Amino acid sequence: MKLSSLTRPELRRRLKEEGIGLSIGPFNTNLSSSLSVVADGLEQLYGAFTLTGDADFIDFRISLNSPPGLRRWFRPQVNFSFDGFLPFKPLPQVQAFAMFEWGLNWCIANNAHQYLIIHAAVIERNGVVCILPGTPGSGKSTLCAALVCKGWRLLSDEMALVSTETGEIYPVPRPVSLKNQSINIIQQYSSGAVMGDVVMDTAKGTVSHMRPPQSSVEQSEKPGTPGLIVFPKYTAGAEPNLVPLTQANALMKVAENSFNYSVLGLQGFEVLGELVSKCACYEFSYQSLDEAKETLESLI
Amino acid sequence: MGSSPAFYNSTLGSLHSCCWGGQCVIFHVESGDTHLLSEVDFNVLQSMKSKPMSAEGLSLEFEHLFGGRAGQYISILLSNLVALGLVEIVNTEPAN
Repeated sequence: MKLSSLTRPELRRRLKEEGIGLSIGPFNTNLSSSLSVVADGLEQLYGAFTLTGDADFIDFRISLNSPPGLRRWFRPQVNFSFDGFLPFKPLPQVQAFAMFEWGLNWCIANNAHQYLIIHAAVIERNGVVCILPGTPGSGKSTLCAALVCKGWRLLSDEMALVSTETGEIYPVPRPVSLKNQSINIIQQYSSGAVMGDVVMDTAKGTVSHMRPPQSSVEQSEKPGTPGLIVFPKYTAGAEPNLVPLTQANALMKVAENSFNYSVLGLQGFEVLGELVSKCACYEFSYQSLDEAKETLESLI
Repeated sequence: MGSSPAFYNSTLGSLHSCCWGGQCVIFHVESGDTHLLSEVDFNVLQSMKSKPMSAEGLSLEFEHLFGGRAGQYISILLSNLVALGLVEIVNTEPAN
């Protein structure tokens, strides 16, 4: 049963009472909230996701609710709670849905150590998974959103989950987080892009999320085989420039972009060594999304 | 009385490495650190794994690669490896 099959009142009732159980890639998440901004975000962006069954194990129990006291009404705020624990300071309530996305990233990065987790966008075309690691500002989410709008499969815009057992990449095809100018760029790039509410004045600037393609969500249980690691860098005025990166340099750079490489220790090193051995690795600077798409498609 | 020459000993308990095209990445289990070395430097490091070596001994062993500047190269490399914690100085000559 998909979330989109719930009526609007039923979605809000469940969200407020027992919570909505969502199957998101390899994780089951139960989200509860009495805030309409959270219900709106789910409705806009999570319609294609499967609801969990009553007997399913829940990996992350999350609630997003107003803190007690004055902040319920005066400059209202929202608290993110994970298994009853509040890992973050409250944020303005209008940012509640974005906080869900950021908080779920945190939950996965801090708990899912059955994977080597790399801070990266992950996309697939013709059976080849392309990992786009990147620091904030590198343009990885914008490039990822553009490619996904043009038919690439979305595995994640935020993290590559590399199985420590098989080396396969597990998808978590959640909404793509876009910031500032990237929101307009993607809306202009693809008329098919469905965006959630635009939230201003967050710690990351203006933020909106793009709905993941239904086909990617439907392949949530299908891991992919890595074949490319590309470090993107948006550079104003740049012609597309693809520079091969040695496997050794790629390993060092990917390790720097991993959330839990140091947690996994030797196992992380071994998984990463196998990953880069299987991949062609590049640094890539670009300005035009169309040229970037053409360049990356030429590698596959 | 002159001081006895320093001997250098690899601190790699068990060596975990990946090498591609002249570069090696090693994982130092003891510290949890990852290091990128040239394959040549990696070979120098490996030669200290079975027994402590002096700088002079290493220079002789790798003279075929570095020629007349072997002593200088090995000296700088050993300083760097010590700074990274991959090599330790032991002041006793290894027993034969």
